[in-house]
Amino acid sequence: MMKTTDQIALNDWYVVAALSNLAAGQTHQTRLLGQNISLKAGADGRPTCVEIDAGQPARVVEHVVVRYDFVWVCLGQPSRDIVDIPEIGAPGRRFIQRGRIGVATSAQRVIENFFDLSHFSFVHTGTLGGMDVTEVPPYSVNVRENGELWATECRFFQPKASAAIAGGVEIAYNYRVPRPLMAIIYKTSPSHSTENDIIGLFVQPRDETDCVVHSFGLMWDAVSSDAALLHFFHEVFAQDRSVLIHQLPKKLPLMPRREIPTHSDALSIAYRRWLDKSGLQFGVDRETAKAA
Amino acid sequence: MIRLYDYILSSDCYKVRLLLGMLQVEFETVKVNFHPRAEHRQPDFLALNPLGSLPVLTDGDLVLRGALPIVSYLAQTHDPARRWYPADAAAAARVLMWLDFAERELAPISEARFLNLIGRDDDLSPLVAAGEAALEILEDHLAEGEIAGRQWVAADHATIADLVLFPASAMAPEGGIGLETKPAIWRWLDRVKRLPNFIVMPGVLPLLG
Repeated sequence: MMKTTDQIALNDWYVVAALSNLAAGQTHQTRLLGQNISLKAGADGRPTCVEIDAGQPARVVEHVVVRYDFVWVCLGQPSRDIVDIPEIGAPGRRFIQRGRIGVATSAQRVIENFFDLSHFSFVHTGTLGGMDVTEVPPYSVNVRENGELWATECRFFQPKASAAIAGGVEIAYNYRVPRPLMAIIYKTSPSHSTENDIIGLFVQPRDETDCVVHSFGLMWDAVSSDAALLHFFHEVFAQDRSVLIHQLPKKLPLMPRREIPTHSDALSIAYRRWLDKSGLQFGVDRETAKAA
Repeated sequence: MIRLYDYILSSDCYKVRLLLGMLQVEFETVKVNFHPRAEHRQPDFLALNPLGSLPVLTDGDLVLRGALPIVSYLAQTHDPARRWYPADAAAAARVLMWLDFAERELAPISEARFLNLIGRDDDLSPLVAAGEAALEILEDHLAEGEIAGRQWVAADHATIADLVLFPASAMAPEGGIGLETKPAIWRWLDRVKRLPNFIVMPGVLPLLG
């Protein structure tokens, strides 16, 4: 695939690597928005990025920034700053790099799955949901003044909500979707019930129907080892992945009646409308429903 | 106590977990940050296994690396009836033949699956072609077996050959290899999932109902 011409997509920031997993001096080849790119961490730790096309000299990418231990790249002219996540760097929680995971579908499918509550019981049986409690209680969805999409007052009963807890407990969730291909969960910390654990997903769209998921956890957990936290995350995400790679169409349909939502999909409906209004073309499917 | 050095998304570790589950053997796990931290390449782990690979299993002073030696050891020490790894020479050799097939011929599938999983941009088409060719052979073997009334790969009951062939076959779609044209493999995967004490790993869908 060629580099996209979608200016909305090109002018946004995307994570393309975790800095701590980028060995100094080594190059890392990947793809962003259909464009092959090569990253390199210099001796001073600062990464550089070039666009690569066969038979042409490499072009230096001007906008490369390190923030939150991730390498962010914008292939166009940034239309805004990188999203502010004040909890990263705040005292208390442990920061866990969860590693890059490839998923052969659109980034939008990954984001939508990430904030979907109704699949917990069926895909994450025994951890994030159970077959005995499958109901999604009503929750609120709104677009804030700064343009971010939020779902609040979400609740779900979870048999094992995190690596830190053994028994079932009702967990409160808030979802923040600050940019189309980025989502952050705030959920009750089982080991610190007045605080939130945080999980963030930054999706790198390689092509319209292929992406890499970069993510982090910010956890109140004094007990679990890093590897135990990581195994818990990877178990959950690999379960999502095994479902995501079979979802069709791979690009996210935006038009009404292409897929039939239920009451528990309020955030999904809002996400699709919000994407539609954003003007983003890359990774979305704007075909209208065929008449029955 | 048996100790398994484990990574949740490793299909080789799953082979061992699967047999430990089937045999109802108690064990403890040491969780390794295989991806992204590459702890298996760190000095501590290399002292245990200089190949820097998973799984590793320890039982007292015994240190075993690699799924095949480990399942062979567990089947011979925790299954007095010797069903999982038959004692009869010809039967044992048939099992070994399919263990070897899983280790060599299905390796490209596991590799393609893992490169996909960690979001690498390598050209996977040679691995996919080799994996497809290997699954054709397994498909034919299982289909011929069904015609002759055989349900399992190497004996008239499930053996460690079935368990060791299972992960790469079941997760071939994660490596970009579809199973749509492999009906005998589908039916055999289903039979494995119905075995008593079967457990899944993330990526392997459980039977519902």
